[in-house]
Amino acid sequence: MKKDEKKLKKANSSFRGKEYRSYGRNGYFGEFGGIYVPEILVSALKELEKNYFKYKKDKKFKEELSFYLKNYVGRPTPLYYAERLSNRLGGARIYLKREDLCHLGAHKINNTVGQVLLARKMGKKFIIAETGAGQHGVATAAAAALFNMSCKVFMGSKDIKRQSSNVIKMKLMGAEVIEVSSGSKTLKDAVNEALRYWVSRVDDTYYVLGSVVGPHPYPTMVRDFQVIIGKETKKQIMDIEGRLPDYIIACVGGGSNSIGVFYPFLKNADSVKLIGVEAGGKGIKSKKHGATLGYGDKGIFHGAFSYVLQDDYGQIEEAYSISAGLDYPGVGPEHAYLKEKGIVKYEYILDSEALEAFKTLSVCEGIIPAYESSHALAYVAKLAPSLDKDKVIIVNLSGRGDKDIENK
Amino acid sequence: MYKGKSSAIERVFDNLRKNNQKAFIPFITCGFPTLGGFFSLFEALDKNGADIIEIGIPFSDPLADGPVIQTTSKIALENGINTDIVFNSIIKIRKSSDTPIAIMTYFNTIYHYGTGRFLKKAKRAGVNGLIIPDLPLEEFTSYRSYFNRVNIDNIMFASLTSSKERLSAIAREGKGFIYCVSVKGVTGIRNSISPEVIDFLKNLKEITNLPLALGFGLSNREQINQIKGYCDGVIIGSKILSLILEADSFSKGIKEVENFTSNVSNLLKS
Repeated sequence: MKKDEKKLKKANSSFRGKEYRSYGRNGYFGEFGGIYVPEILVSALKELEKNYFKYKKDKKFKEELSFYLKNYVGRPTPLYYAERLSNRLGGARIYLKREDLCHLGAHKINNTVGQVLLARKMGKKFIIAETGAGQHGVATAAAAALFNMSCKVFMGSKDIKRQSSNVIKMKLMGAEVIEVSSGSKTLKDAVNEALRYWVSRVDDTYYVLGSVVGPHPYPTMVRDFQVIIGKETKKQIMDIEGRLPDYIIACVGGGSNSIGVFYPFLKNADSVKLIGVEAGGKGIKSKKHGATLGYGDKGIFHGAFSYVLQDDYGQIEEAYSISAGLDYPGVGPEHAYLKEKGIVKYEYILDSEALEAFKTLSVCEGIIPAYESSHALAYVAKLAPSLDKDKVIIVNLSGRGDKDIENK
Repeated sequence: MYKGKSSAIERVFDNLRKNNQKAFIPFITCGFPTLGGFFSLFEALDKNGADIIEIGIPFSDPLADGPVIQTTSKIALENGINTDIVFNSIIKIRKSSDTPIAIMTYFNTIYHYGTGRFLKKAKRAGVNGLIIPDLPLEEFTSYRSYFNRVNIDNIMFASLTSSKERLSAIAREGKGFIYCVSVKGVTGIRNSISPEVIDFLKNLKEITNLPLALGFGLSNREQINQIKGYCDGVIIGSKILSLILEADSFSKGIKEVENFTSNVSNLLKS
């Protein structure tokens, strides 16, 4: 990538002083990433970056975090051999990384416990977060309750209607849910509104972003908090199979569960095929989808340079998916980089295929997956039959599907 | 630093400074309330004492903007406004006005159009400056050469949270004027000025010779009287647009904009 290198080299050479040099090194994945935000937020992001890298290495912080991950979140989550599913599909052996068994039923809590703990260390008094389907909002509300901090969750009015049970949960845990009725009234507008609010309260407020999106240091930090998924998976598959898997499949909305499971395997990408599954919605041609990496263009959205669904003039388009967690027109910059480098392959699955997989897993294994994770499962349903029995596939089962039954 | 040949925008400030006067820089969204209405608004501002006019290219996700500019952007997009229409509109305006124009838009609009192509077209249309709220120093440096090539001012932001080192770097990179943000927050009407704004402007004056224009939240005479001694210009957007949004009819709204513009302008020139 000649342009990447040129841009990066240029960017680094023009940074003045140590602060900018270290930023140039850490804030980009090739040409992707950065901090495309209003000036007023830059100092808050630098403060966050400085504190994050400090506490990341802090022994006490690490101990505290692993204490809560073990005793509160319920880690490590099992790596489960789905024998009936494997037999039914008739090919490769399929393992499920059971993030659906985390406290509150999804991987989101790994990140929120980490960030709220960091917020407390930084002396912040107030927590804010955005949420789409409500999973990240619920996980943030829980972490805020756990560490006795005041919490506001921004949520689009459309999503409030669609996901009323999560609204009730957040309120029950003491969070205030703030209705966002600007723009398309969904996740992207909730992020906009949370950022606007943060601009007005940068001194005492910590913004807990829910995915590997947004300006630096969020994509790096959120990934680091989710990497535990992949680290456990690697150890578990070595214990069970005595070797690395042939495939790892995960769904990609913003991309936090997938980067979490992929990351420790990036160095093994020659032998382990990593596949991210985006939302194909009602089909790419229908324009009602969330396949940002597959069918978006490079651009700047929510503070980072990555891939974006946009029109001919760079206006952000609305995404669509049956799964609220994949219904986002942006994607994490690290995924954009992994796509460009060909390290991870990105595919898409239609609503109808995801629904089929949702039912299949429920019937075969007695596990009801989230619609998000059903996209990864649907891809496996296509892939597994074509593989021999000695092949091993791991699916990151990022969340459970209770929320999806209720909101049908 | 304020060196080399001064730009059209800088010359406005040079001339005003000689008489100890301040610049009035109103903001309007291209295509709001309609494309025709936008031309009328521009004329109302131009004829009633605006020194530089800031024109917004609407963006779907205006992060730094409050409810008023969110609304005008949405209306403009619904009216079918796009980057090419904005350039053509400025070409049309340039037939009858040489008041300096700065475009305000978010960086994706520019990047997607092609940064080099955007700047060339902007220059050809008669644009003098660009204001990009989500392109801070760190990112601007990668695109600097495009600006130098066409000689359009990159107007940079300074905020109450910017460190002294950053302010110096902003002053070195910026051209035209420094857009000083008077609040910790997004655009929109406030009724007062925080005392820390005055210290902020005083500090900036020591760092740079570039003109300082204060914006975000300004709407009334009291605020302007408080700060005009410490800056070189005042930017007002939401207040002007809300006069149109809240008026019974567009013609009444225009009348109010004319009165407001000439009042603010007189205040800054006295």
